[in-house]
Amino acid sequence: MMQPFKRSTRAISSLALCVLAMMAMPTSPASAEPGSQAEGMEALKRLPIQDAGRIKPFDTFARETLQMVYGKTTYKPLLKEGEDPSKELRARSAIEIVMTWFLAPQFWDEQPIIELKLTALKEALNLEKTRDRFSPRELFANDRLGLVFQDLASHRETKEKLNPYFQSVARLESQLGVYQAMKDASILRLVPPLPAAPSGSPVDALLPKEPDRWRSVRDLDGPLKDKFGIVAKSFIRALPGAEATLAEPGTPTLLAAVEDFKTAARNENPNLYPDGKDIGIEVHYEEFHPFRVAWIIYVLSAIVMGIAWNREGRSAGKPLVRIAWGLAILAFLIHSYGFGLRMYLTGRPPVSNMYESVIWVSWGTMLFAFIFEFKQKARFVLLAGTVVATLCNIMADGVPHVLDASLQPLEPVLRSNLWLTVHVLTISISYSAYFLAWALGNIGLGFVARGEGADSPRVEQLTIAIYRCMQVGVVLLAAGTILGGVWADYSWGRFWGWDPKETWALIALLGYLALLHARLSGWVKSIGMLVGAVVSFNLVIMAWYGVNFVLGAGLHSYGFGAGGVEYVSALILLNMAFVGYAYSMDRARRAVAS
Amino acid sequence: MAKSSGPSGKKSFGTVLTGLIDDKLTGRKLVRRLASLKLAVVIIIMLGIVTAWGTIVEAQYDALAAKKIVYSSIWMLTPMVLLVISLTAVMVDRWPWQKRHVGFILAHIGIIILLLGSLITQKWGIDGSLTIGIGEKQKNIVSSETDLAVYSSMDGSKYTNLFDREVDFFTHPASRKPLSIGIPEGEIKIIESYPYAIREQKFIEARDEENAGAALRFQLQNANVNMTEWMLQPTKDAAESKDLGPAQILIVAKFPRDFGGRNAIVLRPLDNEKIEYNVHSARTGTIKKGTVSAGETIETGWMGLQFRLLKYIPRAKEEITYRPLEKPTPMTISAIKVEYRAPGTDKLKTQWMGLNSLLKLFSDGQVYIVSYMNRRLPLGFDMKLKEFKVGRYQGTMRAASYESVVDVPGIGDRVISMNEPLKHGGYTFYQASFESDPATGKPMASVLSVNHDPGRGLKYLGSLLIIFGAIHLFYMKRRAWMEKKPSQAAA
Repeated sequence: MMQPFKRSTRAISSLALCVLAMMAMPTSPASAEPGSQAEGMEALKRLPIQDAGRIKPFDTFARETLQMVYGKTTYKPLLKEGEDPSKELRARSAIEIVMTWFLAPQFWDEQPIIELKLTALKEALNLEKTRDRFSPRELFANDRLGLVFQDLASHRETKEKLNPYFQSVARLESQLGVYQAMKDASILRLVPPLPAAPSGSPVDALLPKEPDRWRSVRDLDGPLKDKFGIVAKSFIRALPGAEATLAEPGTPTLLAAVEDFKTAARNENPNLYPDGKDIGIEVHYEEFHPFRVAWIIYVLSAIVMGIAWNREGRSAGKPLVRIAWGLAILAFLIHSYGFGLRMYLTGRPPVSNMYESVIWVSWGTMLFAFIFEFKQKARFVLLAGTVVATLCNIMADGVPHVLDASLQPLEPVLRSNLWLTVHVLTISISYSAYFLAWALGNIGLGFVARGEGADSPRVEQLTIAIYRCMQVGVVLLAAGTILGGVWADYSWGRFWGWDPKETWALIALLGYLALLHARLSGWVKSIGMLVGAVVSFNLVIMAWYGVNFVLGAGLHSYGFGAGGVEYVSALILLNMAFVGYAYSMDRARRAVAS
Repeated sequence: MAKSSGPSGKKSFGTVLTGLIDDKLTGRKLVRRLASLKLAVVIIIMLGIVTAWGTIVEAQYDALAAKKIVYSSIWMLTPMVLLVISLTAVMVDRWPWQKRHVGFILAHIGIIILLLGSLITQKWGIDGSLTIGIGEKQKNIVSSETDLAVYSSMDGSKYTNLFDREVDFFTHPASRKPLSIGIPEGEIKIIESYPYAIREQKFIEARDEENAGAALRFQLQNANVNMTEWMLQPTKDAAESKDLGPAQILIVAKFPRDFGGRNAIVLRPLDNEKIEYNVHSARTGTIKKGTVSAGETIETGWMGLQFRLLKYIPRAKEEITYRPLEKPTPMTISAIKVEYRAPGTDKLKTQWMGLNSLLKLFSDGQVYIVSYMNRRLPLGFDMKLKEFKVGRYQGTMRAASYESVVDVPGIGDRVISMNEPLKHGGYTFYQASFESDPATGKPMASVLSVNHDPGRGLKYLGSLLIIFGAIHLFYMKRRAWMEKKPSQAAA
């Protein structure tokens, strides 16, 4: 069915086509947009849109949409054959790409923008296995696609858990769905419903319907439709490299067009339209990348501290230690700032998914590192903390397909529950202490591998720090697990339900308890504590990551690579190999000594 | 795991364990052995391994399987009992207690009290569910235990109970241990069981049954609607009707005069090939007549709605089968195979039945009813669901909250929502989930989980003791540490 809006924008589409033809060509990065157009783009980024249960900035919507369909938040066209690879292709922002899906679908139908990685699914669809991205046209024309989707539908009917293959099919289905919905603008819900229309209360009554559903660009008519048409037109003019070829007097600037549309949309129902403050904060949060800034400074701090620590003697390198402290505190403040922004935007303590917990745990690690370093003045505690914080923040910033960074509404059971929040925060911050112990253990084993024994003062100090971390960890994990029982009792009527997440937290606790008791009995001494701190951390990884990504997928996720299981496993194996090497070095050293 | 850690362990696990058995031990010495820290480490690791195994079973099957195979089994019980023994022994061994033992004693007593509380819950607690349709009343909780009962009757109105017992075919599959139920001069025997089966309904030819009615499979379709349905006429002289939103479908033996003033397609089987039909409009009366056979389409004339006859079985009967699955899904139930020898005969008849169903077995002059059901426990009062609300996030169908408004005798209307339970009559009622109409998505019933936990107080007490104990323990350790040199702290 031809959409009325589409018809009226056909002229714009053909314009857009010219622009996109240029886009596909290598352009020099120098041709950036002039000032006024940049302002317009900024305004467009801040245009409120209703998507996935909340109002968000258009910029966030575009990033999330591109991430989902294409697998990245920016787009880089592929070099065509015969083109000079040295010519740099400018990475294009999500907003440019997603807007032009709607304005110039003829162009995008041919571009490889749908990410599909799973080999088994490529085989099922008879696609080239060497490629990771395919064009919408070749996928829609694929004669096996219907069968594959039907297969998924029948699997859903029996309500079986979806294995990674079907998860991939489900993702492909939504990728194509979102692309289509963007093409016909039905996903662009930019205008609130009129107050006269029966807008459901938050607790909507018996008839299932979508409360406060905003109107999409597809469904607009009258002046609003025209106003969006002008936005689209001036958007195309604002695209880099377009103004010279498409100079058309009389078209307002993008800024004016967006503001005009915004005013008209707000007038439809001012109560439902956001005032722009939160939208601005969210755009700032997305653009500032607080966790990226934080990890870069953490790395600097770690380097400075590493140098300072290598200087012999307490007094040597004092200024360096001060610099390392300063950098670590600065990074920690930025880390906290990002965390605070996220809390403000979601209106809850952000520990409801893997991404948020990674940030929270590394924050906790830094907190413990500051406290223990302040007491012990050993330099390596802060070093260990910054290493962990760097690792976590790189992961949070760099693997969006595993750690989903988008702000999501909560499941009903997780909403407004004090006990749940306290319990999750307590358990996850105990992981912080264990994480710090893990880093200290690895540092210690590094010295052991280089020939230092249990009698070395460095190893002795590290052991003390590890023991402290474990004490804190055990108390917090025991308390958190019990608080989990309180929550489960309050919400579900059973104190302990053998839920896998809770159970693995308990197993981790048992692991550390076994270690502490073994130390008390003399089975484990200082080198053993170093080894134990590293090895036991595998239990935390299982409780924290493995339950969601290994057990949750029904144990079949090995080899499929859902959620990066193969990378995590490889890292663990490497780490264990290192432990084995250091331990054997220590045995050899003791054999020589005795 | 942590067991790879001690370079200096003088005794292996094996020597610790055998040491317990073959020495001639005095009481004090036995306590000392049982109080050994090394034994404690072994027990803790055992607990960890068994528990981890449980989570794997749960991931592969479900929570109930994990409970039955692992958590309630001897594998879990053994380390638990050992743990309690070891905890008790270590406290006895440290007698007389000193001030520095406070944390250690509290933590260890706390664990014992916590485990005791769990034992009481397991033994006397009730954990069930209550499904109430909107506007309906319920007075029984359904628990996960299953009961098998057999009743007999001469006249179909008075029933005698011949057998009633708790059964667990999950732990004791019937194929390994068939369950025989004696009936006078005959036998009912459960010979096989599936833990996870899908109930499938089929319509098959019944040529030799004179009275069998017709079965039809058809599709109703227009731009907005597309549904495919089966319908079975109970006998060839009976009528069957189905209300499918846009129209009512009837299979009849004789065309009625009155269609009740609604859109209807009335079908009357003619012979083995053809069906005669009348299309009736609510406003204008009968608008179309003719015959249709399998594969043909009737244009109804309402909103472009088409009726397509996909399959026609002139004489059909319903057959229920149970297809076993390896793993559970929300659709699977447990199913058992019943073998029946009617009194005074040698002929054996077998039939499958699913959980929460009844099976009727006939003989000359007698009827036996086999009931395989989840246990129902009386609440002691009626609970009525007045309203069920689903709150949704703006602009989506994504649920943000569930809420049941219930009417309870004596306390009136109460709201039960996620994380906000209702406590009444010794039970606590939690909002667990809801059932919705598969076609419209409209909620039909609310599912509450109902719970009675006599061990709760002990579990909370134990938990508090553990936390205070652990904090005190490490606080004392720190102080001891401050005074000594770090390398001696382990001693």
